[in-house]
Amino acid sequence: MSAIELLSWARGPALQFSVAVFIVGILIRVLEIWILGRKKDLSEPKAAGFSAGMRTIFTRSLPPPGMLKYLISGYIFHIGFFVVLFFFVPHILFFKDVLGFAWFGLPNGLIDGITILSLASLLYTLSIRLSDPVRRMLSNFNDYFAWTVTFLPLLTGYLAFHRHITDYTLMLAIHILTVNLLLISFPFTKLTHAVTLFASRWYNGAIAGRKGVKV
Amino acid sequence: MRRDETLADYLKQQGISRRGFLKFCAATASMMALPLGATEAIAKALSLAKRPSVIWLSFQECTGCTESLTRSSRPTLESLILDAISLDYHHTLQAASGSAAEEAREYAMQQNKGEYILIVDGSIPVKDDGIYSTIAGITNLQMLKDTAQHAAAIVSVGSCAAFGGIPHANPNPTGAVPVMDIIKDKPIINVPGCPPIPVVITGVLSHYLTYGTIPELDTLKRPLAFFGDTIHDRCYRRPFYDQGKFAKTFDDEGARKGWCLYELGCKGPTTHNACATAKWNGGTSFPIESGHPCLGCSEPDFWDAGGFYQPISTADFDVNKLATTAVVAGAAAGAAFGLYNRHKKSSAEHQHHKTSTDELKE
Amino acid sequence: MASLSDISVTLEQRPTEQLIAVLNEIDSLLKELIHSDQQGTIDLRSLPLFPGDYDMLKQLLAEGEVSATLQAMGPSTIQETRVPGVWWVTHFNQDDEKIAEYIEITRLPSLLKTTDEDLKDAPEGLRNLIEQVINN
Repeated sequence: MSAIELLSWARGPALQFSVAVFIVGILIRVLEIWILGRKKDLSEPKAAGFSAGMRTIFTRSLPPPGMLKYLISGYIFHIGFFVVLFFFVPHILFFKDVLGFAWFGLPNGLIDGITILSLASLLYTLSIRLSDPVRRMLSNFNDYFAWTVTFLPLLTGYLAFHRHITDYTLMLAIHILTVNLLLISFPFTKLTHAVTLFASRWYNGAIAGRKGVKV
Repeated sequence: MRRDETLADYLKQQGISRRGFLKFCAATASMMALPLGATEAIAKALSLAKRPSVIWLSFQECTGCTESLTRSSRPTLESLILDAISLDYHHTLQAASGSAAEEAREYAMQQNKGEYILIVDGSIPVKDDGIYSTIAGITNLQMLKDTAQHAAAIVSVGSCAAFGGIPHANPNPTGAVPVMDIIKDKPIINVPGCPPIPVVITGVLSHYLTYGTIPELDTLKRPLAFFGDTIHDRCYRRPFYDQGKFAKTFDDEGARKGWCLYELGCKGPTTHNACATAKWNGGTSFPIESGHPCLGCSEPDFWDAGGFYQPISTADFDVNKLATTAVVAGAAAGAAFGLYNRHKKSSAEHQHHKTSTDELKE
Repeated sequence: MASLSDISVTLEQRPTEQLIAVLNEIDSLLKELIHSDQQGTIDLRSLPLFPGDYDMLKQLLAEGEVSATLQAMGPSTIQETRVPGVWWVTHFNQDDEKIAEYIEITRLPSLLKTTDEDLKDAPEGLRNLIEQVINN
């Protein structure tokens, strides 16, 4: 199979399958949790649960003591990934196709720099995970797998854009294949946190808040 | 031109001086994307070159490739090359027809066994023993196999012969395949394009005339001299791509200023061909210069690679429709699973048997 | 009825990166000619020039002292530009279609010199002319 045939397959049947698995998978997971619900708490609340939950979403975004470096690199990666995904012009064209509307893009040079920063911060967080004995002991296959399927699209996208490093058609095909892998893995791994984190933080804050405890 | 004459003798007889011959070689060097310094080498080689016999077989094709090559009825460099070769069989161009033509082909094959060049345009249908395209009662499949047997090399001209082309596109009712899928034991040069640039076809023939060898090929058997770069690599609109200046529709401000056509579906970045430098109609223009995005016609299966107006970074299917369907299906499935879980929970509560102290005593 | 020429198309008239790159290449080839007597060529067919660049390049280099026309298999023009050592060579076929175009960096484009092969046949041709004159 030549590079161009691989590319056609990657952005054709492979992408079809991946997008379907991504959307259906996430919806099933989210609805499953939500519809199951929780037993009604009949005790008298000491404080309002809802606002306490909203507060927790915010406080969980701040660094706990001693974790500043880790947190900054986490933010660099998350924000960087978001910016590269949603503000690089070729990506915007993809979303325009899906959603029916588009938005402004950022200059390629800026996206390029942000990609490098995101890759660096990912490598940094991995190095912390590996060097700290406690973290290393706690880490399992799912952790490394989730890290890898997130790292690869950024790396292959960067290589594809810089044509003098690799053959464009082949690298573009590989980039789209790594994106497909990320999409398929999403509902089955901890990557689902991207969708569930706010509800999760809110819930923790709400139940504690009802009891009068601020988290 | 007699068969044992060299090209140099032939040109001299045509009244072409040494200077004229050198000018011819310089133009040939330019056409073959060789540096001007190669002119001397070309001149020397062509001086000694004998006139090879060429058999041209047209199969399941639209004749666009032959048209591309012969469009100019006035003498041009391309026609001179064609004069220099001995075109012994071409069922569209030749005067003879019927059984006389087939006899001419067989005669040429016999006379030049092991030395003739076979040029093929059009794909070969193989479904149902290849009955979907026949010439003089012989299937294309059979004719190709017979003629290829004693050929020195095969040149597949056009995307149909090189990769299957439009007959090969979904759903491929005739089982069309490219030449290289059938012939495995002969050197094959693919010259794709729909049609290929005329100067590329003659450039390949010139190379063979000059050096007697197959030019350097890429993994899809295309000559690197013409198919080594992508359109994007040599596109004059590249600065606009780099600066993020894109035409959004065919008639907007950006289009009139000649901005990059990426957003209108240009396949330049993934298409290997010489259109951006050699151009068309004797160097007049090429699709992008005329304001239309590249179709990617020199790549395999370009007809099935999503829409011509779909940018490369988009899906090559209706992703909006898929996403909407997936959301509906996912919501339904999620609701179904959720409700099932609730049911399991409540029926478990229902069936929960409270243990009494009497049961514990047992 | 509207025609093609009614569509307003504007060209960005400013020197592009490609034009400056070509000029720099001519400059380095010229230096090589001066230092090591090495001839150089630029095949204009192989360059991705923006429409407008070609005209700007031609305007810039303009015409120098020498203009020659070669009549062989159609006309060819060999023009020294206003930069000595930089020649603009254009080949046309019998129907005035451009078949090749080069910028040659050299003391003298080789096509201007009489070739050995043609020179070899020259005495015979001259002899025929002399005989014509004698016999008349």
